[in-house]
Amino acid sequence: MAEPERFRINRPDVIHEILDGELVIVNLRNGAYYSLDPVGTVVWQEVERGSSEAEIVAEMLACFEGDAAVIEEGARSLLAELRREDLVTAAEGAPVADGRLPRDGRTAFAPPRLQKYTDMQELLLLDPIHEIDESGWPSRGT
Amino acid sequence: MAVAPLRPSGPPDSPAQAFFHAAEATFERASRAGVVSRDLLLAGRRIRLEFAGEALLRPLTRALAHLLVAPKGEGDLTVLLWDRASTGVAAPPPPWGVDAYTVRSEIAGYNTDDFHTTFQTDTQSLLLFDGARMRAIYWTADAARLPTYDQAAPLRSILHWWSRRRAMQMVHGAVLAGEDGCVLLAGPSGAGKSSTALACLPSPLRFLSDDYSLLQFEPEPRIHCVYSVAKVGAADVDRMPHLRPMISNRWEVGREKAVFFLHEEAPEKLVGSARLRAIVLPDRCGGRDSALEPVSAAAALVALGASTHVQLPNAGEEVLRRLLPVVRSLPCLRLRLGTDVAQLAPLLVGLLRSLGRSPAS
Repeated sequence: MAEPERFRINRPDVIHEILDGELVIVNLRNGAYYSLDPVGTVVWQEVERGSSEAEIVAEMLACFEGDAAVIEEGARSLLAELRREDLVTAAEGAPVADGRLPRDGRTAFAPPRLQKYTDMQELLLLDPIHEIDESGWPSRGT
Repeated sequence: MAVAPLRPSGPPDSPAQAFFHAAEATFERASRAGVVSRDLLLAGRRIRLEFAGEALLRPLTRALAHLLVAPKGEGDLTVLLWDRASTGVAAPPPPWGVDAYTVRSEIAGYNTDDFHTTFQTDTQSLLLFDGARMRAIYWTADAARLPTYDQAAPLRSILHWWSRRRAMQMVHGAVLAGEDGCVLLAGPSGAGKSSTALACLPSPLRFLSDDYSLLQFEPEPRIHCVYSVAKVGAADVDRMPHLRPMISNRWEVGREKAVFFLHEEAPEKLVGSARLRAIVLPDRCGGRDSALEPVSAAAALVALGASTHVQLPNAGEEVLRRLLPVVRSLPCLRLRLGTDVAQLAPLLVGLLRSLGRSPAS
């Protein structure tokens, strides 16, 4: 039987910090910042442990109270979004880390939200290279 | 003119180091007719600007005029500056190809721990930095063609590279100060940072920044005014008629933001530095009234970090690591911006009063 697919944080391009239970993620490659609520932070921590998708869903069900199908959909959707944003990628043969932090009982589930925050307006104003002048430097063109 | 050794002894030059030395030698040729020196005093440190001729003097120092001091001793940082149009001397030909120009202006393969190399295509300006010797180079094609928006925040990449080596960080946001310290307004372009800062100009609050400022971390978070400039869109000028007499670029307002050199127009409103008391995230919510409400430290870090990171070349992980303790130690609030701009100053004055009585200086 094939090994389940596991995931890893896309280091070194992606870094993160937890502030008061909320996660801040930065993609250093493009300067995009993200915040992730405490529910989504559980998914992130499971990715960091090297858990498979099924293990992530199981941990979410253990952590939160609510409709199991809704919790599973919330976990899978977030995982897919993290992969689309290139924050998380497939891990090859990554071992699962030991143990988890003790839980303070189950809490109510709310669908996790990844909020993206980027200030690209200034960058969009930058001109592409149109032409090179006689001294070898990009010129504004005409 | 005394210059640092062009080729210090040691291991072979990296491409970035070799290019820096070539540019330094080129400045020697560009400045044969004479060097004009100006000193800036920023956060207690002296920055020496050495211009080859006078063409760049006004475009690059107008926004920094409040920092000018009489030249004396050595600079903590020395910047060599020239343009091709007035000196006839171009920067050395770039040894890199067209593919090396990246979106944040960094030249791929020419940035190391010690050296930074960028080329801004919109302003046709080359900025180089040697962190080991604290020397920098600025070259542009034509001083007369520098856009107003660049004259409003000159040399910001060089100041960013310098400050990160001096336990400080250039941050992107507007800053308003009262007697009890200052608030940093953070958020993306269009959030309302500058319009809030300028709406408060007629109030007791004083102005520290509307765009880039310098955050000193120790012994307490403190913001230093870098540019005595404010900029807002034409719609904001219509809403705040007190701004109209101060516009410096009337001919282009509409297609460019209106630019205000406050050192010239309202020097009494400027303050050099102030203790940072809170981070405030403006948010245009519609409606007439404005209000402050708590926001998470994570939201403040994301707002401040994202725009700071994107707009400064070579800003990386250290931006997050350095801002983290600051947002953890300060109150973070959302400013729900209403259309009645007269409400903004009393809100912020009240906030600063409630947060302490340390005097702004």
